[in-house]
Amino acid sequence: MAYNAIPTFLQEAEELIADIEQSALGLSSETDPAETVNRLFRAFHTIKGSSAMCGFDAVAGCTHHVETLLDRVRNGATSVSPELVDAVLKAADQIKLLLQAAQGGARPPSSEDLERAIAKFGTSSERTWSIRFHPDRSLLANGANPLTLLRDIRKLGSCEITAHTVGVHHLAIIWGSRNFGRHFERWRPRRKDRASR
Amino acid sequence: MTLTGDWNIGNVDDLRRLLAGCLDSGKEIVLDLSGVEGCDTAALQLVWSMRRTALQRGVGFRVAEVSRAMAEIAGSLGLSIEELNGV
Repeated sequence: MAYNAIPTFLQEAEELIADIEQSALGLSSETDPAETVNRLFRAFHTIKGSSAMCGFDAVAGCTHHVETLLDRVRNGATSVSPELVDAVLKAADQIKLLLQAAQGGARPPSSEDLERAIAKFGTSSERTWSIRFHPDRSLLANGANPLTLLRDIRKLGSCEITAHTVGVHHLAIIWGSRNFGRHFERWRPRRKDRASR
Repeated sequence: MTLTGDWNIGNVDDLRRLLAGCLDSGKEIVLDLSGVEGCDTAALQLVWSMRRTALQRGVGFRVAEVSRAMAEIAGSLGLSIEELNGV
């Protein structure tokens, strides 16, 4: 029976959104919010990658905007403010609505209001490239090493890499080195580059 | 459970047997990975798979310690050891 990653993703997304809301609400009162901002970024980044993998493109697209905003905060280009907290909470609400719509087969609600709210924080001078790395299942068994490829990508510029562990199978299913490579088969390296290059 | 040495595609079958045996004991799993000198994607996959299986069975799972080498390789693959502890 084929493994269906969607229920796992939905459960994890629910937990991540709850964590996002809690983290965002505490953000304004923190003297050093860097770790919380990182935590928020990672949560949105995970939702974005996993939702794209599960075919929830509207969720991935919406999440990309708030993830970019949080990356600007991490880089010091944008400050923590009540407006930022509001934008993060709006993004969490929008993702919940999009997931509900996706589960019910409904048309996804527009994310334009959220995008406009995020756009007010300014535009980035960086271009971001999102790369989905989905190698053949026999990758590891054939002796290939994804570490080498990912290290080469890192040499090209600032890079965030997320492994999509939602697709990792239970131990009972993995048996024999021939099967290796079938389960860690999705990465989403994200390369940033200066537009002026 | 304590793992030491180098775990890679060449000995992942042995690693899988070790982890499966530990899971079958039904006791809470606490992994000490501080003695792991090296690993590859296949070995890390098994650790993540062990966590998934433990959670499915309702068995407690956490990583107590991890070697710098293993943490760096995991980081290079976009994996976070913190994720194993549900952080």
